[in-house]
Amino acid sequence: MTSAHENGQKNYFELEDALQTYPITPAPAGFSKKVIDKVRTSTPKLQFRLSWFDYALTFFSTSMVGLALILWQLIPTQWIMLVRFQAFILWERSMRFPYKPNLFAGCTLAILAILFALVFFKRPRFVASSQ
Amino acid sequence: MDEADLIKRARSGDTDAFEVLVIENQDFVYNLALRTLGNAVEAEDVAQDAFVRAWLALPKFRQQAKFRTWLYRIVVNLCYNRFPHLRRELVILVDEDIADISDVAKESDIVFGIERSERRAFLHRQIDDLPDHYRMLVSLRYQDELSYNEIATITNLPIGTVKTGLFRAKDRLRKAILELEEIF
Repeated sequence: MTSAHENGQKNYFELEDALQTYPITPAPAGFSKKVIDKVRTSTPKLQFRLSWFDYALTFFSTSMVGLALILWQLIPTQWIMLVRFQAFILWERSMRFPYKPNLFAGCTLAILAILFALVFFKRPRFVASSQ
Repeated sequence: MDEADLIKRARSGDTDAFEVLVIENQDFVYNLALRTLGNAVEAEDVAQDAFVRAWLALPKFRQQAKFRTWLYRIVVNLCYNRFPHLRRELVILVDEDIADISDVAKESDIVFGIERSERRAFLHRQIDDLPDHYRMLVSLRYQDELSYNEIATITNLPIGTVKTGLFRAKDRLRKAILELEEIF
């Protein structure tokens, strides 16, 4: 009886010993290099790339500036005088009552800025890809 | 430089810092994959994949767990994905009312005679021949010296299932010793 108990205990310790000494197999040679190579190729790289919309927006903006210059040349001299006169009156009025025109100009500029931001930031953009 | 600094640097894109982390953990990660899958080629593939995934997920790593424990979790999940039977076989283990399996390692230095090393080698072969789900638990418990709680977290299993799995693995090994004794 005692022998069976001792045998059981011996087996128990033997088993624990085997589990504790179960060897750790080291990683193969060059393992870390392979991992780092993979890591470098899998890192998302932000590449500078212009999308078709960037080209379209640039073309549109420069066209508008060119068109504005051409139209300005085509306006008759009398009309230009009239515009200058109107501008002078507006300027004079704004000097008398500066609050309203300034508010109007400020709001117009703010709306234009928001519109520009919407067009600029909501344009289709290149998304960084990971291999 | 300690691990936290290396993780911080790696998180900001420093691959050299990450390489140090890889070198420090590669043996443990590869070993766990090897013990679980039982195939060197598959194990290397899984271990490499685990590190690449860790690199990509590093910004999400909150350092609540140890880096190595986090890596183990990635390895185990990759093994589950490759071999769905692994998790299935662990999940179906019925929890047994197991008395706390205390590891009496200190007393394992008892001298058993000249055949001790041979018997130990025999047992190591028996561990290698265990089903992969048991081998994974044995590796986490005895090679990585993790607590039952940590193993349960890594394997996403209830603690009772982990204990049952380890108990059954040991039971198989115990039977193997008895069979060996019957032969001689």
